[in-house]
Amino acid sequence: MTQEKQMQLIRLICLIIPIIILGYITLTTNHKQNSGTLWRVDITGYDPRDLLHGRYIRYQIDWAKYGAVTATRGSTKTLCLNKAPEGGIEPVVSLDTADNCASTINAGKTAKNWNYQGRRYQIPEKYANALDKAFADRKNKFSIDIRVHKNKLYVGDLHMNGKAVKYNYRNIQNQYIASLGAKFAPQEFTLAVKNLRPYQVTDSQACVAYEIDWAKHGLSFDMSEQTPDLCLTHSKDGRVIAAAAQNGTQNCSARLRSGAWNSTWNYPFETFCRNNRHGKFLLDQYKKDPTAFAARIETNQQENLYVKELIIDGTPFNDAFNIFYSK
Amino acid sequence: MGLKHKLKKWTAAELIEASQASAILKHEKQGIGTKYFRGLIGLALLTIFGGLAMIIASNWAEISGATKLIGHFILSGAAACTVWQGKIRNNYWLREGASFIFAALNMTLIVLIGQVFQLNGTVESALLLWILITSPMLFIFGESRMIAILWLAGFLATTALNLEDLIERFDVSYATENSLYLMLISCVPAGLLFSAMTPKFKTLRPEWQHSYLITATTLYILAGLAASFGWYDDSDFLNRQFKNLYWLPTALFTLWAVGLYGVSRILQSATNKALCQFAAIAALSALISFLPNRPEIDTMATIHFVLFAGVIGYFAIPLSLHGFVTLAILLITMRLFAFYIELTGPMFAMGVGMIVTGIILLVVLRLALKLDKKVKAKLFGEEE
Repeated sequence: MTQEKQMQLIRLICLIIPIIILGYITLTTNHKQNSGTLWRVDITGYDPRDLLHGRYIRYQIDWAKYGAVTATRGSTKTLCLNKAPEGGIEPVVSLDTADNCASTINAGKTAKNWNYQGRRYQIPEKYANALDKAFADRKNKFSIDIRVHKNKLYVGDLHMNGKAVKYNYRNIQNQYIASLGAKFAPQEFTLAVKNLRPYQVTDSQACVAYEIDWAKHGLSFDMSEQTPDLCLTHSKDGRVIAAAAQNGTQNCSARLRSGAWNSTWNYPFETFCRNNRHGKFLLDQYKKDPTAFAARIETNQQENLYVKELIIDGTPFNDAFNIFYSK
Repeated sequence: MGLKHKLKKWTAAELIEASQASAILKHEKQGIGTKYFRGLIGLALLTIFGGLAMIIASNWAEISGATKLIGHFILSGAAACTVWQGKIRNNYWLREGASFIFAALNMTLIVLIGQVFQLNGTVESALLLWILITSPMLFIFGESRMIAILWLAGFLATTALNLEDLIERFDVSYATENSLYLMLISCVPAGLLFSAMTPKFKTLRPEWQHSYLITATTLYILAGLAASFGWYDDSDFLNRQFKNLYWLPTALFTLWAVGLYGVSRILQSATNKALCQFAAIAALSALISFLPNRPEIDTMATIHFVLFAGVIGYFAIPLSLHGFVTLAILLITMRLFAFYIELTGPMFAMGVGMIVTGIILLVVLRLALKLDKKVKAKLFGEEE
């Protein structure tokens, strides 16, 4: 073989190496994902504020539901999966591998190990908002298919209430996005607040934690129960009225969605912090009259709530501060 | 007045020959044309890569995973064929452009495989696989600076992100991990510098060699400057990070400083000599901030930074890089300005203080610009 031909061969090999290696990875991963015993396990979001991050869902497998097992980073024992007496593809799990196991999964630091904590499930961008809402809706149950191949775990389809999500994106979209009807323009409301708790963060920064007093706006709810989306309206005397949102002809000025995020209406508390003289003024005002406080909120088209500022005796905080110091 | 017109005038005045005028014109046309062309091609290819990455990231639900993968493999195959055709036809830009696209497609394919099979892969593992499978192809087919930069960016990102993971696998103590990390990461700029000094590499891939030199020098500049911030750490920093190996950074950077200086004595080329000496001083800069039991004086951070920036300016002469003078003067100006803000922090927070600070910055920049012109005029005989 001449030197030029040898060079040609080297060039060809360098060029096809990426395709051959990636092709091999594709085929073997496909084989591993479709062979081995199929199991279906429930998942939970381990951080409610970060359930849906970018275009993937962060989750962990709820092993504790299937046996006395706790997944931690430091776990070293192999997980044993067996069929439940009632049948089906949901497993019974234990860490005792002395028994005959239908499948076993090793512990370790990667997503192929049973005790891995930072699992992600990639979802289409187009349906991310709908799935975001579906995940926040506590009545939904999410599970995933897993297959075990040579003691390693491979993730398959994501299921919502027993149905594969990949075949139901449109239904979820219709259920959580389209049915909400018209978008509401961004608006501002002033709401009553309660349970004010002042605290000093540093020498220069002071904060007040508080809750929005929805009861003063006609709404009572139990935080331990499923909380509804909200419909905000104005009464004839200008007061803000909050009520559970219903599908149909409810005449809302704005809607607020329920969920586990700090932009949802049922988030348990808000904080308001200021530095230096503003911080001192905030604490002084609290000491003077905690009942004088109210919150100015803004609602947006995505039905989120943001606190714009605190109101003291009907005056926005910054204006109250300026008036006080100009005297 | 345009260059063509000027050349005509100089030829008429018998300052240059007609053949020289024609050669100058040809050279200038080629230079400007290639520069813009290269820049625009790089931009176009980056845009294509960005588009591909966005399509994959959007994870279209309407197309099955298998279809996406098959489609991507066909696309990658087509890019590989184009690279081959570019090489056979000896078409420089076809080969370089297709190599860039093929390398980018390798990355998007890795991401797509991870997405379709829900592999939970990390950015660092994707980059590692990419660099392993793509490097041979890029070395063999890519000759342009565009490809060299692409590879260097991938290499540096892969090294930075994977080194820590790799060391963690050894299951050693935290202090040993830090020591290993420091030892290995300090080899990166030296590795690039020594590779660039290989004569064969310079002959085979001049654009790559040039990019290696620029990258290595940049890394040494950054390391030398960053080391000055070590003075802000308390003196117990070494005991905390390296425990009983607290002496290792000092030993390591002493070794690098001595080694690089030693190499500079052996080398023949004046540029390579100067580069090694500069790298040795950068290692010395790192060594000073890692000295055990050094005094805790924050002001030393500024002095250290200014001195190292001065070294950068000094090397403008042996490296024939006029830009180093400007860089040094700019760095010194900005650092002194930062020092002024450190001293007058509370004043800076007030309205009048900000105005005064802004005015001072304007004056200082004006003075720096004047100084830059003066120094350049003195060193290189440039017009003031």
